Amino acid sequence: MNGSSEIDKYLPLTESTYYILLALLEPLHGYGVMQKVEAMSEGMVKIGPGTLYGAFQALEKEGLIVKVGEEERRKIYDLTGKGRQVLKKQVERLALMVRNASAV
Amino acid sequence: MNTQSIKRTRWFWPWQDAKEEAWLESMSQDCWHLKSLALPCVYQFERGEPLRYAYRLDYMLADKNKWLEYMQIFQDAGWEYIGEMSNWRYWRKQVAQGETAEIFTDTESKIKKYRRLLAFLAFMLILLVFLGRQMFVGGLDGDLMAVPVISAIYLVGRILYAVLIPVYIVVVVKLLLRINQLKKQAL
Repeated sequence: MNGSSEIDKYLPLTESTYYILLALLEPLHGYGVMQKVEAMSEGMVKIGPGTLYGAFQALEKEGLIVKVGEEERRKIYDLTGKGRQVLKKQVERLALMVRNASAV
Repeated sequence: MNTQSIKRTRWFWPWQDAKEEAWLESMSQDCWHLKSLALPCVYQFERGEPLRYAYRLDYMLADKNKWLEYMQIFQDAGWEYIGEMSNWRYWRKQVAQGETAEIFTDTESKIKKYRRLLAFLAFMLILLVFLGRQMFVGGLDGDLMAVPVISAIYLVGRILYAVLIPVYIVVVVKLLLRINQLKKQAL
């Protein structure tokens, strides 16, 4: 088992997936994720419900997020350890990208 | 209240879903708002206030376990479910003048919608080919074929297959081209 490639195969994340994982640093339901992403990105990234639903299904299947509860019929998701590792690696990549661009 | 309603019959090819959305939006601009989807290709409209709607189509097979979660996320985002036609889910959301709304906000999820449709078509094609082989390629024995009704059904079946298979191929190719077009936009 190569732990690193287990994580690397998900990278780079798309902008939507990145923000969805970032929003799930605390447990949230879909609506919460949509609102938080829009707020965090200062309105630059909006996630439509079709995109979010599809992302939830895929991320749960890959074990990056997990259902942790339900609130008024809304499923609440949280990052798994694996999800957190993926997000961390993505952040490292992004940080490097920004450092590389300091001349711009 | 004096409600009027009209029915429209319309066919759309699965790679033209954006055109379908635009048509529904133009109907709404004329105050005809989609009320329900009855039989395949039959749309019921209701006369109403001049409201501006964004109509969007998703392709989703029914999955009882996931349906509630799917509905909840869309409704929380302000979308209203109208109905379903051949697994196409019709959604709409009221928008302000000059604005629009999307259910899919990135290329990946737009492509995945067509992939779900392609997966379903592939499954149907396998079924079609398998059934066709069973029914028509093997042929029937001479005694049965001598019965006019049976030989007529047999002939109609063959013609249907001869038409359906090429149509399927065209639909699949068109969908692949649509996916390719989306990929190119992604840069």
